[in-house]
Amino acid sequence: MFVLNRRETWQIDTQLTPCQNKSMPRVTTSSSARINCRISHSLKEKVEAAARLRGQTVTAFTESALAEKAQEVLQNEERIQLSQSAFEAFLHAIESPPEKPSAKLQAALVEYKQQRS
Amino acid sequence: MRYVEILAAHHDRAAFNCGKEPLNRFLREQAKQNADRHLGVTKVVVNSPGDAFVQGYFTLVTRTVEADQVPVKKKLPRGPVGVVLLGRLAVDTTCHRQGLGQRILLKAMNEVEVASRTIGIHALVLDVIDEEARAWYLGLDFGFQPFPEDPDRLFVPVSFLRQLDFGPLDDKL
Repeated sequence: MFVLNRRETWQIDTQLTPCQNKSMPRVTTSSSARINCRISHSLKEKVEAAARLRGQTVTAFTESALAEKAQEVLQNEERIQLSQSAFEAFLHAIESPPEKPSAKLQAALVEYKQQRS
Repeated sequence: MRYVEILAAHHDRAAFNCGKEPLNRFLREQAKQNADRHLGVTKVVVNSPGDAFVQGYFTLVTRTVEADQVPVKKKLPRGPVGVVLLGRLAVDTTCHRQGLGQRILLKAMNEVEVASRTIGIHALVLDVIDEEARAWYLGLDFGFQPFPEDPDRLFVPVSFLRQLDFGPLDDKL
């Protein structure tokens, strides 16, 4: 995605902030991670111009652009690969007796059926 | 009442705007092509059959879930496990705040449950693209839970969907 140009390189330092939602369990322990990469001068200018157009900081723009691209790539991957332990946890979850549907879901289902009849 | 139709040439893909450009772009440029290549099915929501205006859409594709390595000892390797990925779900801004996204999600859950009666599907999977999406899906309390070790990917087991009463599956929404 970022092309390395050996003559003219600029650096974008991006703090990638994971989940803001504190109620969600997180796998990672740190509050942010860092990606370092060198990009060409022209790409840096382009990124800055694009970020300005969206009214975002370069960091916010880079983060969302990376998220979009990663999402696109992962979406096209037909196999979802998990670590052995995560796969076992997944199998356990799909083979265990199901949880009872929440009151919210049951109410939504009633409405779902009503509107179609 | 609204209707769900398989994306076709008469649907106005260019006019669709859900407020998130990657989702607009997918409908505009990718959805039909993917369907033609049998990579996935995109269905759109319209006000009445034959309408051009797309109020929302969703895309279902098959995926497999597997371990990235063979277990070290004893146990026989299991998998891969067939699942359906709700690749995308979006609602046009003119139809926001009407509970349409939630109804589309129920339709997708309904379709997966019906499909699971004839083919081996074990879960409905989806990816959250941002914090807003994560908060929305989890806030609905529809039974989705994060994947082990991957908080950006949620799933709901088919065994959970099977106990829900969706009523008969049709093209109404």
